[in-house]
Amino acid sequence: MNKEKRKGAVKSIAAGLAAAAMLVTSGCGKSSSHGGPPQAQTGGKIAVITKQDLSFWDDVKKGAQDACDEFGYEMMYTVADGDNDYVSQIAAINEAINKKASAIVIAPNSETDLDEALTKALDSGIKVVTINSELNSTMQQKVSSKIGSSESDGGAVAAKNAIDAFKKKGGDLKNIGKIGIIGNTAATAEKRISGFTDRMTRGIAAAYGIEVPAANPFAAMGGAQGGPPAGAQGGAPAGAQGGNAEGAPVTTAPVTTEAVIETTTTVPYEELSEYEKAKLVIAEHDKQAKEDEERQLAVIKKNFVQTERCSKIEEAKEATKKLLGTDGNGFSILFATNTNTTLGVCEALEELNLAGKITVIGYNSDEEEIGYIKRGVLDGTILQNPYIIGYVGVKYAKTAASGSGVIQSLDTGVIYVNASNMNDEFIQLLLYPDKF
Amino acid sequence: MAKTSSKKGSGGYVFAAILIAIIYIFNTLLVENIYSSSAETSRKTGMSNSAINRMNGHLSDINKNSLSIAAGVGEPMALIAQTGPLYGNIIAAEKQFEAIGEVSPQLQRRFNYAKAIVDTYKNRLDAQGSTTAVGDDQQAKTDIMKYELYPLQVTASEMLTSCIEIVNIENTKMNAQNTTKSYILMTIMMLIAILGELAVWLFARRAKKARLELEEREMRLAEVDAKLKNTRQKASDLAVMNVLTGMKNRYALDNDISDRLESGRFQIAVFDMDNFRSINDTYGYDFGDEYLSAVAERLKQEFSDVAEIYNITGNEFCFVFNKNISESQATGIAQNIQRVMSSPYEVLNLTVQLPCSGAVYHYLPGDCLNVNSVLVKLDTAMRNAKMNGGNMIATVMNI
Repeated sequence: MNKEKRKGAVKSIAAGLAAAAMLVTSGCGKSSSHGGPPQAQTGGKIAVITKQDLSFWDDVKKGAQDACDEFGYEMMYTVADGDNDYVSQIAAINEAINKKASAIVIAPNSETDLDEALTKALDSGIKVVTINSELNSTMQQKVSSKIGSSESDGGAVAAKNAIDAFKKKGGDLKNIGKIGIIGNTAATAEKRISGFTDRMTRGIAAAYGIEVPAANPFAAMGGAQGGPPAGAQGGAPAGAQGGNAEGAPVTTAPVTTEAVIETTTTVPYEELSEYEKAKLVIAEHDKQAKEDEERQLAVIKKNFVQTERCSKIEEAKEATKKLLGTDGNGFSILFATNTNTTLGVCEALEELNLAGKITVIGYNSDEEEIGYIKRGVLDGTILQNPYIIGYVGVKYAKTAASGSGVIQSLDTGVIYVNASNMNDEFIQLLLYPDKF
Repeated sequence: MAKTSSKKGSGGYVFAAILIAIIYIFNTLLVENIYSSSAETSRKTGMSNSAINRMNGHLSDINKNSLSIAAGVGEPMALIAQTGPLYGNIIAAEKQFEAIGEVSPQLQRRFNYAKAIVDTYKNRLDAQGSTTAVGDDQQAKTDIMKYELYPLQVTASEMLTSCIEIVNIENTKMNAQNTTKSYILMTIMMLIAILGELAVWLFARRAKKARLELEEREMRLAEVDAKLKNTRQKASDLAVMNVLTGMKNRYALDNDISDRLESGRFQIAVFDMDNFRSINDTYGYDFGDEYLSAVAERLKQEFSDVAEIYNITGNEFCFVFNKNISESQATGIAQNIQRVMSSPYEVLNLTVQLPCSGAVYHYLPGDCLNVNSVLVKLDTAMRNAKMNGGNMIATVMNI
């Protein structure tokens, strides 16, 4: 190729490139001028670590998996061998660190034993969200958020509905028999039991006309601020603060009244006015009444009988049988604090042929428990919405991982399920998250 | 041939033009596709986010009213009365979402979940009636708020905000896809354009090569043509020329003066060697030929300035004097011609000399009808001179 020809070739190729560039730029100008919404960060791995192989955790997994799919994350799922198995959970945390997960969603099987592993994860920049259970307060403060339902609320709802069910069966609270509590071994059981006994005590006391001050967080806040709790406004995330009255909503402590304060005055009785004397008499009377009520409350509390803590169905069944003897042993209400204890109680009742005679409130929504509700053995069960716990756990984890802030705690609430509402659309969603 | 080749060259440019047009149309269509899909995504995003936000906002309002009732703030009946219109707004927002058309299965599923919970919330609220709300049982109010409504509101709100996040993620994905599409499109366009230009360049190169080949062929053809012309000229020259002496022959003479016979006045003379045959007989024809050509050469040298010389037969030469030559001059030149012709010549190392006779004719217009008559007159005069002993010049007498 001589010089001239080469020149020609270079010229035509240059012209071609220019033409191509012209065509291309004329084309892409349009599309680039269109601005989209801010880029949502996606991708990466989220480790989801749950407690044990139960249907409850299967539902948590389903929710977590859906969230991972929808938000574009890969889920690394680990289920521990039991609700005390923190060793598997430590291994799963370390694996998450090694595989450079963006976040960890964990239902801790121990309040303290995971500290070291979780601290290492946090130091590696991995965001941690706890679900269902909490860590010790120092560690809990370091994690991004906790998702779950209030355990004491669960207990309170169980008590409220136990009373309703008992009444519906024609029971009279004034003549209520013993109340049996079959608790499981996990730490959460204690909060559930405390919520249950507090509410149950208040309910029975109310039947006797004893007024136990209600801890209505809405009323308290409404009075103080002239409006609904600020935290509850504008949607769920903030609502948790208003609704979460864990451990606090119910109290049986005697209340200090105005009269009591007045008796501390140093003015001699003789110098008081008639009005003041009358007030003092009333105050004295109130004090007497209060003491009577407290005595009454103490009697009511004696009605509560707790079994040994059980972890297996068989243990719960035996404990229940021991409690009930052959004829029910004067028990009116039974409360079981998790799936295994609920199933154990129901099996015992069926064996003793006491099904339907004693009001039974259980926990969670295993398929067998649903079966017991349908057969009338179980009056109702408390649902925590595990699907939502898993889903929101992952949602908050990915939000925290992407650098955005999340609220410290979200109470997903508890729902009472019985034979009459179990076919509601919402309850069906809770029972069968796959169905919709 | 030349036409076909130029057609070939322009074909390349037509092809290039068509190619660029096709590329442009293709590019425009693809860009339009990307743009409309972006616009569609943007429209769907805007509509769905607005619908979901409205649902969430109105649900939040309903929940706020419920909280107010539970907290004993505000007029319960008035707050309850607001629920209907607020829920109506939620339904409108739901319809707005459903009007968007096809959305991803994930978004639809999450939306359905949220919708189911919102509906349940409303149903539960309705189921409560107004008895509890207006009553004094604070515990009952708290229970409804906390255990009946709160979990639903939390869940619905989480599901609705998740819907928005899903929409945004899908939108981001779509934008990323469109960006990738744009890059692929740009690359394809660039490749097509480069290939097109390469094709044009190749066509142009081929056309140029063809043109060069053509030019070369034309050049060769011109050469052949010139040769042919030369040959033809030579052939035609031979017809009017004596091969031996290189002088014009009788046909040439005929051609040259025929037109002048009618009206021309000119001096014409003929000469030939006396008894030339003796040379041929003695020395052979080759020698004779050499002798003749030597004579002719001398005549050309001496007289071509004053006359056109023809070798009309064997050793006979005819002189058509130039127009400016007068009768007397012609007679004088004739004598010179006789002297030159009859002078000795060196031929093949032999010196030969022969006398010569001639005739001069002062031609007047209309003397003869044709050249032949002119020559007959001259030849007759010359033969007379030869018969009278030769070595003399006769003059054609005008009768």
